[in-house]
Amino acid sequence: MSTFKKSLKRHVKLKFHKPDVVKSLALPTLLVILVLIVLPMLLLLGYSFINKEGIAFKLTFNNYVVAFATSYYWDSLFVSFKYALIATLICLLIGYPFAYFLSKVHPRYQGIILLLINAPMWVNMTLRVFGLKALLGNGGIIQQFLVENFHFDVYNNGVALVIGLVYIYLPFMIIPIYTTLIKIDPAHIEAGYDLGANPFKVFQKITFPLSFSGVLSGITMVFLPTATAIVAPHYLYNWSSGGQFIGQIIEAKVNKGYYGEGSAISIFLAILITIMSLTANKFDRYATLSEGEE
Amino acid sequence: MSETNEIQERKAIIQISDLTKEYDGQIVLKGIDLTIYENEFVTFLGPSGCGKTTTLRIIGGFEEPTSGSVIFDGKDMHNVPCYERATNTVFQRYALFPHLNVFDNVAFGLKIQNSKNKGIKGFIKQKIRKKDLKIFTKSEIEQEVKRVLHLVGLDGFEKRSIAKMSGGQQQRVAIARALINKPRVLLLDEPLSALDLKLRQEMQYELKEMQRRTGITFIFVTHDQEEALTMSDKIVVMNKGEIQQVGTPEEIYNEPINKFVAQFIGESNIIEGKMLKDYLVEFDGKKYECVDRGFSENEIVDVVIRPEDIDIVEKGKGYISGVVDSIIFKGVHFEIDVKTKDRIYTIHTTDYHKEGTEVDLIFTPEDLHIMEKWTYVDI
Repeated sequence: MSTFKKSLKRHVKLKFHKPDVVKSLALPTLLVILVLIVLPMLLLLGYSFINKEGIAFKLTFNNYVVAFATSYYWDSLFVSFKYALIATLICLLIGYPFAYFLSKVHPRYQGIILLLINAPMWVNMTLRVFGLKALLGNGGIIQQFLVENFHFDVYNNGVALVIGLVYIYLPFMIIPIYTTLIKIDPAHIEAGYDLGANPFKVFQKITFPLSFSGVLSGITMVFLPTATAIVAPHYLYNWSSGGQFIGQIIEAKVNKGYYGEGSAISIFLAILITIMSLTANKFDRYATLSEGEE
Repeated sequence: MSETNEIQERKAIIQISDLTKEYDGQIVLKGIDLTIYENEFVTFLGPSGCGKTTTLRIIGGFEEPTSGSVIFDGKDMHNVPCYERATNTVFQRYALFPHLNVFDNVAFGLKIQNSKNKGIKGFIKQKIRKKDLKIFTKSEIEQEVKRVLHLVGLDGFEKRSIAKMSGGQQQRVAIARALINKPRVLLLDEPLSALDLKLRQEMQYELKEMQRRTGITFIFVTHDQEEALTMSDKIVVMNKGEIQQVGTPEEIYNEPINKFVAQFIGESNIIEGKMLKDYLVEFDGKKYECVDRGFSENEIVDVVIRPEDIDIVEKGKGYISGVVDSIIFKGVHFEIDVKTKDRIYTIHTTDYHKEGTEVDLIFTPEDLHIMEKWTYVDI
């Protein structure tokens, strides 16, 4: 009886730990990835090679030729990346010190402050952009005031857009950096002091390198969505004179039924961003960091 | 506190006086007084929470004492930050920098030293304060790293990543990293506790050797009495934030000053007794000759007899009669419990005595260690 029970127990245990069962846990995610990411990407890829003439479809490279040859697209890419870069840089300059401060605060308050950082994300982004538009957008209260008194037009010179992007994406910079900072073993910091490094040197040689992976993911998490943003540039920025964001162009193409061209630009953008991400990840190695010694 | 004349002739490097430390109203150090001499291997020994690590951290500058002072080489260390002290630390979990390889970990101290002596600050120090500054060239740094890695037995490990090293190897890197700065005092915070027994014993020997060769003062924190006895020139036994006894390993082992020390250092038979007069003690209703003096007449004391100091003899030939209660083989010796009228004595002997045998116990006057009755008052 007892042997039977034992063997039954073992059997049940084994069955539970069978790789098939474990693998099946990944099925829902796999399904989502397949249906919502892989399939659309394939469709996108397919569309980018198709030209629609009337009701007939034709296989063509023309979409890519157009995408590459049109200087307007390149300008738009440049504008998108320029603002994304500025916003990312500002997010980093504000976010790192704040994350550092947050990691030093008494643990009791860290949770509350984190909650406050996340709080704006509970409100729909479009709504928040509309709110900003009322202040900084064309005819907004602050924009009007600055134009009338200082001849400083935040709507036309892009400042409003940068403020908007930073406002929306700052938490995505703070949180990954904060996460790596609190994971740093205090003994490493003490070891730095012990070996003669003053607080500045400890930060430069230990704290910052050890938090660098957080900085990189912060940069990625801010740069990618800002570079492809649609809503913020649409309302906070005079794109009709300053140049459209690449996301706006894609949106417009697709809305007007130019699926082929829109897809080609999207694929091109995706490749570009993939290359950038991979390059960024290359830096995320402890070994390469230690080379930067004097 | 007993210190030999030889030690007193040496130059004091650290003088700690009336050191106290409080955390949120909890007292962890209660007036520590201690002098550490040059070229000494000093061990802080005690159970966890006794304040040994706190004392070490105060010496290293990681923590400020609530009151009291640490004089280092004649200079008060009050408000001197950690990075300006001539001490280096080997941390309990080594704390090697994970983003640097072995070479860069070990060279860290020298590179920092260089960066301090370069630039405007260095220029001012050199030209105006007329200080002789050493700036290490790249090849000098390489040489130094090689030298200390050789010292810890890690030749050729320069390019190795920290994550790919065993605990013992990481330990050696940590020691090399601390030694490269040629500290006056090396602080070691339970550095062997994460190693297995065999490696630990090996490292004990090697650390002692390193200390002898380098001539650096080592302050070693441990809760392992065997480790302390093996390595130290001087042991500081601590408990509940107070120093219990300071002395050589022999002194601590043979002449424990109170019951706590006696119990903490090795196994002991501790018996309450009465000191009738100098050289005569009474316990369990019998009078015994001893070698201790200086207690007041009829003072209640603790008598310590080490298990290896008691001999088992035939019935009728010893001082105390009893029956062998249990016998356990311990490898080198047997541990025998002998039940007598008043208590059970633990005895270490190489002779076998069958359970239930009636025996007598005998010891010499030198085997009786008389200690003041230890009363611990909790605050």
